[in-house]
Amino acid sequence: MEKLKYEKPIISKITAGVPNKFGLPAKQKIISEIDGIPVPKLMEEFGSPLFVLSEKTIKDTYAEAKQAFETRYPKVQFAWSYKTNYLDAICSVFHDEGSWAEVVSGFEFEKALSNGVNGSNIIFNGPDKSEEDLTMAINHNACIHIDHFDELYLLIETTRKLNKKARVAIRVNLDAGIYPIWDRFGFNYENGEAWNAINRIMLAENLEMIGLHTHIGTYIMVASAYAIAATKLSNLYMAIHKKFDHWLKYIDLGGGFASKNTLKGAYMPGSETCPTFDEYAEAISNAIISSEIPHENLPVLFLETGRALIDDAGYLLTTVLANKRSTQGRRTMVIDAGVNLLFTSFWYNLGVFPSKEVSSHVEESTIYGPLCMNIDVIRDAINFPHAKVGDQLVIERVGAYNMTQWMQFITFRPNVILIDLEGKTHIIRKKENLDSLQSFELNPKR
Amino acid sequence: MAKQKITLAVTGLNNTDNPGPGVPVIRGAKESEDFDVRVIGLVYENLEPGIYMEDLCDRIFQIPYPSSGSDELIERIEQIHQQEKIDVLIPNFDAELFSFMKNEQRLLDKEIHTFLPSLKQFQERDKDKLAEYGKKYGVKVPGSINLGTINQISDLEDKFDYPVMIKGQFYDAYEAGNEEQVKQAFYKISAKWGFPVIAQEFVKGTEVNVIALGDGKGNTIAAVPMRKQYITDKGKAWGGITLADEKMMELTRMLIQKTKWKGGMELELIKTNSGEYYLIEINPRIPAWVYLAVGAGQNIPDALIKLALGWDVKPMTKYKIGKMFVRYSFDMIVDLEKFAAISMNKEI
Amino acid sequence: MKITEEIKISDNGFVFNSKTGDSFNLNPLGLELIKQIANDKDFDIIRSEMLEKYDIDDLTFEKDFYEFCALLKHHQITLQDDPLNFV
Repeated sequence: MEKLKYEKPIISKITAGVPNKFGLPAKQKIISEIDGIPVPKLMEEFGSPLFVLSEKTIKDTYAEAKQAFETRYPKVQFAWSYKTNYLDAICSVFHDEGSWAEVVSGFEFEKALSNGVNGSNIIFNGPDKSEEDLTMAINHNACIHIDHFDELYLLIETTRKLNKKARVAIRVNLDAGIYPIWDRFGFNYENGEAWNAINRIMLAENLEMIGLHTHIGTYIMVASAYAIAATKLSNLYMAIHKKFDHWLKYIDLGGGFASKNTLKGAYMPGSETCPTFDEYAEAISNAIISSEIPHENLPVLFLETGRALIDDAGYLLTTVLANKRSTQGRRTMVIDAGVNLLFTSFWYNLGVFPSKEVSSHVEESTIYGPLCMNIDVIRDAINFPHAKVGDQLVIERVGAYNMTQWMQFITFRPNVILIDLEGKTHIIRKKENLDSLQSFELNPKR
Repeated sequence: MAKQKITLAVTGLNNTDNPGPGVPVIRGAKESEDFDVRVIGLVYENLEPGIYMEDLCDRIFQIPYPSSGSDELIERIEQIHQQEKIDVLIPNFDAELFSFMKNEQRLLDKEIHTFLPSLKQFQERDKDKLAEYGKKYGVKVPGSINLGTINQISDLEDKFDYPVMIKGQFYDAYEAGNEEQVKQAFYKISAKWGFPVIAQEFVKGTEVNVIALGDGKGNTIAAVPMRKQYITDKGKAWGGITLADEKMMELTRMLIQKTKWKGGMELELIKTNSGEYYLIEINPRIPAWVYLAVGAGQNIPDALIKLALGWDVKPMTKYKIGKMFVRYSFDMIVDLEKFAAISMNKEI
Repeated sequence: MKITEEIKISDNGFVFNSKTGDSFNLNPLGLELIKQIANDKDFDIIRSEMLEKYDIDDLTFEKDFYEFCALLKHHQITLQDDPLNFV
């Protein structure tokens, strides 16, 4: 006689009346393959955990963003935000698509140069620019976005020493109707600080003012905030023309577009509530086009979108290490990827999915990483089917920030692979080993 | 003439001390002169009182919370529709409106009719945009500041005298009489509802409300003004009386005309001693006290069903003045079987 | 291991504890097992019957069975012995 299909015995308490955030057991989504390659095959070849990036998703997302803006505005230039993901292979994908580089440190600047980016196509942002950094930027004719007055004066001094001109813009902070207002970076619009800085720059003989920059925040869920920002920068753009008879080359609206991840505390999934590229593009383009700026003098629109372009292209494949019951009877599961690899798990409810049908019974569970640290929680509450030890899971939308903010802790950081457009896999960052880590160390005792 | 048979699906059967409007909506629909209504109750929880009320619903189904994704919610509705053939769906929860508005066409393709405001109408009445709303449509609104940090309290003190109202974007409101209370309310609300926290000028006067129904073309199909006579500590009306107030009616008709509001709504107003009206909030759905309007002669649920089905509905202009509602609590005795059935089978 | 007297088990898997007022639901195998436990069957017998009937290995079944029993105890469905009575 053929044996019956086994399903793990379960008893669960019926909570009376208390609002149960989850309601009915949801249909379980499964991610069994990435760009046509089965998850078990990827893990067999490259190990677990494993970061996987899809070139196809990157290119599709980039094309979508580009189209959204280019169909609404005549001159658009993207600059790849290095801090979001500066693995060389990823930067190259963006540069091949025509993206400039947006960097915030001397290290990132050098990385962009080594990736073959022409210095004049590098935007240098951030509050930390040393004299050496500024010298490098001036020598490479980069676009230096000044953050504060001390930097402005250091720059004037450096140009004098070098007897060279610097191409500059200022970062402007402004009230775009969103909270919190990021007023710690740049010069304030509303209190006239930005206008003062512009006047000082226009008088400096070695500074060529070429643009205006703002970055209103991160994960901005209302497209209209960008319209306010674009309008305010357009006002400055016109004011500079009126006073100095000088047309700037560009307006840079920074980044901050939301990806489709769900922020912790959000009621609805991010995939439903986050604005689309079309909505952002509509708000920004309309604001600039309907400003006072004459059509023939419209600036180039720079965008430094990082997260929204790369988050969806990244996956983390991981393996179940153990299942446990807490003393409260709550189901918990330990996986082999921890918060040291998933910095974004601190503010997102990341999507975690089985790679195959595991069980029809779902239960509210906590997912822990493998670190012996109490903070190592990937999801504190997720409706999840009963997975067995060794089952392979996929965490989606992890392409942004995780591969730059990760830290080496307790064990090695894993392989990162890219699946190219032909469906071929390439290791783009090798798993660390004892030698690679110890190569930085010096031991005076031996 | 025989009544037309229809199947009506309704959410919000939680007639608790923070009541949803589902039960009074069903009562109104059942009193329709034109429809013979078969009622499908849609519930999120197994203790929603509407499940256990005799002769209220013909069938009960549990549905997943919209927070698990609109698709799951809509798929469940479609699955119920296959069995029950829903003609009209009236959602009654703020949290689910977004999902139903977004999927209006998908439901209509399956011949499930709704009558909801557009996303634009829904979003422009957000609490943190009330000042713009007031300016755009020419209504007085209390002065307000959107607070992003506690440091803005000094701005607030420059602009308003205490007390002020401190409100969350979605829910919650506290009256604060000094800086310390503002801080407390700010932390409590921002932890729960995020930013901005809205600080609103305190307007002294009487709270009055209007329940209304707009046809989406600018016509006010129904409108009944009411004053709350007794308010619980949760801010819910436990008794109210219909008013004869032409100014409130004018304001309502003007707003519906200018915004072309589609669907049910509730205007929350403060009437000052000098007879001015300040708009405090717009609820984008039928409020829980809708049965007072039915009792006063305007069957709003019935009219909403007709609009959803594409009937031509003439505006109702008359209602009985001085009609009251008094809410009460009532203990039903129910058997464990019903609880077991909804908990185990997700339907009754 | 004994099921407490106050527990009522319905054939659809609904469990009601009349002492605490809590209710629970069981999946089909949970229902099957709880009935065996209620009949005072030994673990060894339950296991051999289950291995006969279902497509499952003995170690996985043992692990699942004891997790299930721990939950029954946690929910006060089975009688509680003193956990520090190390016999």
